[in-house]
Amino acid sequence: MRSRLVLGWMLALSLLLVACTPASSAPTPTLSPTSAVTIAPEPTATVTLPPSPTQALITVTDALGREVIFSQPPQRVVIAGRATALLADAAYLFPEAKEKVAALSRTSQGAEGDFLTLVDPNLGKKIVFETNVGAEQVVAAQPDVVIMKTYMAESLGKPLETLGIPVVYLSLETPEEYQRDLRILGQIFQNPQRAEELVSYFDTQVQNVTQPLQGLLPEQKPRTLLLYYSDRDGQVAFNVAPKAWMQTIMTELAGGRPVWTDIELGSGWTKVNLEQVAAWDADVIAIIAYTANPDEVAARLKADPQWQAMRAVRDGRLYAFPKDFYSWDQPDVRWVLGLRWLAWRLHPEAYPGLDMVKEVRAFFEQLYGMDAKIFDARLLPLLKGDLR
Amino acid sequence: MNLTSSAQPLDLMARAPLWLQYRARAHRRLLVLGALLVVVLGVSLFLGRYPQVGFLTPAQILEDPLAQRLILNLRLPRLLAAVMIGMSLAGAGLVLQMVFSNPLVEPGFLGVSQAAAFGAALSIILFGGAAWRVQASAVFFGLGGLALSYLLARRVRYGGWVLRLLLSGIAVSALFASGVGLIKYLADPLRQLPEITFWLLGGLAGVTWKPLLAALPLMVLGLVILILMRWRLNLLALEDEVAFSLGVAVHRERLLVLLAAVMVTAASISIGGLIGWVGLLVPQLARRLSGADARYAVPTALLLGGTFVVLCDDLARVLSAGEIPLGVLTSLLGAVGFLLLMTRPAVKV
Repeated sequence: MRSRLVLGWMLALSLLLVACTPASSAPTPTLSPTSAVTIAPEPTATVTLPPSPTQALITVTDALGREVIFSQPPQRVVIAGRATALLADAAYLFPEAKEKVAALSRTSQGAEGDFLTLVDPNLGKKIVFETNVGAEQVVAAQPDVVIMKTYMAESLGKPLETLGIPVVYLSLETPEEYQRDLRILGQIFQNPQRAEELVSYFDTQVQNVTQPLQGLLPEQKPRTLLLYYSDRDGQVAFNVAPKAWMQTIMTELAGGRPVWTDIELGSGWTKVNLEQVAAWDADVIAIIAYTANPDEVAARLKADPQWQAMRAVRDGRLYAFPKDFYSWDQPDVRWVLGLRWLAWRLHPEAYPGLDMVKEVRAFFEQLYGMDAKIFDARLLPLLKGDLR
Repeated sequence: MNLTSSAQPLDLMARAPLWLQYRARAHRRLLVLGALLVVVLGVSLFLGRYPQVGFLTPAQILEDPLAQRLILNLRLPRLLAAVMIGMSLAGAGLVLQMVFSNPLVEPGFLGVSQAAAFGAALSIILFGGAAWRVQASAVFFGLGGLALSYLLARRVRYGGWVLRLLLSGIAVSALFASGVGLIKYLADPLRQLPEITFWLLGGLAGVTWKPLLAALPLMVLGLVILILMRWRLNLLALEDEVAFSLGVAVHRERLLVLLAAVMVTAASISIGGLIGWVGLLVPQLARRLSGADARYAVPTALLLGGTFVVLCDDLARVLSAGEIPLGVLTSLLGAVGFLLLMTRPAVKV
């Protein structure tokens, strides 16, 4: 008798749950914020977007191909989740970001500190989350839109979408995606003109780098190895990037032949041993280091008898990949700097008189309006890698 | 006169048979635990980090439609998931401990946890993190882990059935654990590894109605079986021969109970990842409270398990600006609680 009661209770509970879900999960499917507004009987003053008949709707198609519709320009932009540094660096290319970005996940990548402190004097007043922030915390920042990487969709994006918070996913992983995603940011910050300026800036940068390399025969392209040095957990490891990553694309654009694409590559960094590095015996090796100092790593390798036997070291063509706050090989806005540097290292004759430090200065001035004083005091001392 | 009449019922109670007193006490205890769970749930629903760390006031909820949506669409499914996971893991743990007559057994011992973890990790790297695929894969491999343990145990040539099943369970666990290690090695460190790692540490941050409802039927079914079978569990805990002589179809019933335990475990893992120590600590605590009689130990464990996981999840989502992995908290609190429990002298039973 009692067990029947329990059984009945359990079934009733599950029925109740099933019964109450459609109402609550109805807005999930394609999730445009306007459809989300329909869940709440009355529009909210704080977070959702009150429809204003005078303003045209803004339709943003994000990196996942979802359409997000805003009835008025978002005023409180929140950037959350992993790799926020890369997203924020792109967002702050728009001057409006200083004012409109209300909260963001931690952006510092290591001991160098947080690049955004150079760009946004109000950063200290903004809400800062952890990278593994939960939906509730994000909602507390009262966002009009939340920007995150495409791979955050399941863990953070879905719960926010359920609440009717507009989420715009960006990828920013390849040169082409930079063009598309900068235009999306232009829509969010209501500055499409700046977006076009930026797209053309990145385009011109790539053109300037690749133009002198046109007509190179395959055998004129040095066999190049971009090697990421990691010493996490006290264990030294060398890793190579997958084919689709920026590092590989960059090497090809810079007029090099990536030697590492002939092995079975994983979907992330693939660990390789010294034997494999020796077997490739690349003409040029560039050492990437995120946490360690790339200059020190390169110096150590050059002094290592095993490495001295390799062609790149013998020819003096083992370089430290430059970095400032963040390494330039990543799909951060700095990738154009990384591209220029790599092309110059692979084909110095194609870029006579190139002064990398001058390039870096111009880059930060043009993109972030950084003045010389801040650059000299805060960024220049952090520059590492074989820039001269 | 008055005195004698009021003394009468007391006297009766004192003369009531011991089992009746025991039952009345057990029922009272269950009622208190049930009330505790309801109170904890009610309080947790209003606790969070929106709009500030702490409690939402009724006025805020009435005025702020976002707060209403937050409670209905995020907190409620998450709390229910926590309750169901707590009940499932504690119930499964208790049942396995009884069936194997070993108080140190938990669902992980039959290869279920590691196999489910392997299934989820595999799905993350093969198909991306789509929730339903991860869940389906976790349940599929969880059941596969049990089947493998079971089949291997049949082929082991020595030892009693329990020993054989435990041995093969340990081997199967190790097999899948190495598989998880391999997948972690192969996973994309930016996209997949954090997801796998978070998942291996357990957490309910991404739980909405959809994944919960997907897992709920399996959990409800499994728990109902466990609750209905609690009368038989006392017999299954006996030696095979004794149980058989008492009219139990030992193999068939044990298989049914094991299957139910695995089902709820795999379903829990599929929504919340690996959440350790609930299946070990809570059954111990439940037996401390209610005695080894499964008729009362099972519901006690379910109620305690639900309360424990809800409390841990409250800490996970409120304590820090980021989400603390739930599995880390349950392990920490579970291990501390376990130590306290073990070092205290037994009160009764």
